[in-house]
Amino acid sequence: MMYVPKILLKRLSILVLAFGLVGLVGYLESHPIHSASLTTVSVTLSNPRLSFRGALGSGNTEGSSVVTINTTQGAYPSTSSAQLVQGDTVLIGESSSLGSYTVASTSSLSTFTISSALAAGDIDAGDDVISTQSADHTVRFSTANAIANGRFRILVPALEDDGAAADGIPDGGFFDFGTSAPTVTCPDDVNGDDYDFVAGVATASAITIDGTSYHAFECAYSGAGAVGTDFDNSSQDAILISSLINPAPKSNHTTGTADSHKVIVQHLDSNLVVQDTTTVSVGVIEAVRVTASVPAQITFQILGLAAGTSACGVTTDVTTTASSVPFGEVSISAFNDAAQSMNVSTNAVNGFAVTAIENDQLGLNGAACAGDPTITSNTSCIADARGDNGTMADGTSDEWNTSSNKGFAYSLHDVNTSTTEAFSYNESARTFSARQFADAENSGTAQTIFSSTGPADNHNLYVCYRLIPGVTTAAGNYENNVTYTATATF
Amino acid sequence: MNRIIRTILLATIVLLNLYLVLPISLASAQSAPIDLSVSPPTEYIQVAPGKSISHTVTIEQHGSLPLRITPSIVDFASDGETGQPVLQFEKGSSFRYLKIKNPDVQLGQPFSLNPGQKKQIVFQIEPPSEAVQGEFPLTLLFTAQPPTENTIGTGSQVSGMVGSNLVVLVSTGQTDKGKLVLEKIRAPRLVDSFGSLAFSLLAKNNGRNATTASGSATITNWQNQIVAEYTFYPDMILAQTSRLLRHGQSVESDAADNITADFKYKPAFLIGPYTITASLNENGLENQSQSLLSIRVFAFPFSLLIVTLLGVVLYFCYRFLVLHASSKND
Repeated sequence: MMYVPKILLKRLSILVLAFGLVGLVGYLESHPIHSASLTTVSVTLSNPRLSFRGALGSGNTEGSSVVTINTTQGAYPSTSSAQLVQGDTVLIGESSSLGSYTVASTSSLSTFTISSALAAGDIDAGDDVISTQSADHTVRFSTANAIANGRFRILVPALEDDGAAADGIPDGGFFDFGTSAPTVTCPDDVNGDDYDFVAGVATASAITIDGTSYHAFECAYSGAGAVGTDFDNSSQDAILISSLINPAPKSNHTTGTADSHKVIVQHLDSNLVVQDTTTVSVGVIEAVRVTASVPAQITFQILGLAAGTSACGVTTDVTTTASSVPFGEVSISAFNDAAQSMNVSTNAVNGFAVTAIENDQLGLNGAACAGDPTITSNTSCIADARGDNGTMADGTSDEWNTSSNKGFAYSLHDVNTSTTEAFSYNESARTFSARQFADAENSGTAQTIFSSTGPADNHNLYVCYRLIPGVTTAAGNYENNVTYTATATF
Repeated sequence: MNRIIRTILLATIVLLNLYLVLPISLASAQSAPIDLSVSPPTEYIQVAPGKSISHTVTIEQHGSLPLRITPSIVDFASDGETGQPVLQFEKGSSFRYLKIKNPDVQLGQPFSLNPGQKKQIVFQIEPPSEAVQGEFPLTLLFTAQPPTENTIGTGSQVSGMVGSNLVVLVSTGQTDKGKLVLEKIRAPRLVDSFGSLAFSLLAKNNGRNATTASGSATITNWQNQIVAEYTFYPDMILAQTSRLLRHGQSVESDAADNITADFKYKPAFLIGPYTITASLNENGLENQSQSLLSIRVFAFPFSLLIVTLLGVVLYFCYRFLVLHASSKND
């Protein structure tokens, strides 16, 4: 075995290491930073609506506020008024003399109405119909490499540079630059030496890649750059491109489906060579039209209330349903109380009224109680009460708080002060102010119990029933029918 | 032994079911509301004799149990002041030219409507060529009741009815045959200077069809300056009926609460003669003939005068009593 002196081995190692370092430096010099992708890239549009670029159809007339558009598929980028919404500004006419109008409504896909009348020169078939939608683009990303004295460039799809790409009129499938350059707001400087930005620059149809033109928006900087700097509007500012005109629909556009457009975000070095690049998609779509039909209507609700409910200043004794007030076996020495709840909602402009009427006074097994009997004059009826002062009637209230005054009556309690009731249980400092039900058998006419003079949102009222038979009242079941009617005020 | 255990088990299950289900059924029946809506609440239509027109009413059940709905028609009259319809239950309807087109719905016959169900009732209005021309205010009523009658012992059965007003004009002519006139200005002739000048206006439609009110009322002072002006709210006044005119209390008068039939002018101090003048367009259109009415109201500080007089009387009484007492002492 050959002997190699230790010192020689050491020097050889140093030599190999030195050569290796020199070689690595040379390699790096001849092979600059590897191209990579910017990360966390997004482009957000402040307004994702499609612009409208269509034309008038035939049949438009001067002075009309109804505009008919050409709906022939493929004839123009926009062939459906679904793209328009109330309040949009729309330009109509020949390209040299466009009249400005405001969209009042869109009723069908072929027509829309405007808030003023069509002028004489704005009615010819084929005249332009243009409604521009503009958006601010917020571009967020994170750097992949530290590139000294470089620039960030955002490329947005554009028409070929024939003038139409920057005429302020929306282009089918492409963003229009506008007649004046959009503002590019670059981020504030980062860490002093890393990114020191100059003013942003916008150039219409500046770049062509694979046959597609792009508007270019650049933010150049001096400084060393840094890896992983987040231009996300949180850590650092994002790049903002203001007021770029949104595309009109692509030729194969489907209503309700977003048109997708590729936006390229690039990081260039000082020689304007692209080092990092990432492509993202943005979508533009029609405004979502929410429609709802609200018919004029009136809704009436009757609810039963459980026993023990506090209503009209008393606690009820029996549970009622929506369709019955079952007093059951009643006391002859104390009041028997029950209650129901009524609600009315209506959008009728003049409001509503609810009336009440009974078919007859409470008769034994539902038999007739002719005329207006008293408790003593007809012992087969529980007659309508007369009140403590004997003045109670179907249109006149009276206090009824003495159980020796027999009969049947009702009171009202506007429990949440939502409506206008005919009277109230505690009116005139009374404890239980009550009225008789209008008696249809005795030619009574239905009496209004609550009402409103305008639209009503859940106007709510308790109707409180009170009954006490006389000691001479014949034993048995006593019944009648009470009808509540809700109608709109005309 | 097994049979006994099986029987006990079965009985337990049956009892448990009864225990669990029965209260729920009762509770459901108890809480199930009558809840019904109709659309439209009010509609005005015109039809010529010998012609036909249809009118659709939509009825929707919002309750939680099925209901029996019984359609009926009654005439309604104006209450003469507020526009609330007064339904003529006892008379029914005198309008014979209206029928229901739905094959499964008849007047006076109940049909079932399930919770959440909506049904459109189509009414055909077909006055013959010899029909009397005029305006017919009707209410299309829908009575809601549970599917089975309750046995309640002593108590009241309750029915809920909801109505859709339909004002039918049978006429060959145009609908601008309204003729509104101001009938009355209701106001006191004397008012206290510290009070308010309040009044109301009653209008009548002597024409052949319902017409909306339009016009204004003003108050002028002794210098002939207009101190208050009110624009009438466009309420509908039916043919051959009266109605109190209403106005918005302020410019922002869209809120229903601001629409009122009470006209009130209340400055810090009223004095002298005031003239209330009302001008109502006869057929609801501007620049047409107008019905005019005015009255004069006199404002004077009566309360001040009474207080002064009372003071004078008290003073003389006091003087009299003092003199009487001193003469007695003498």
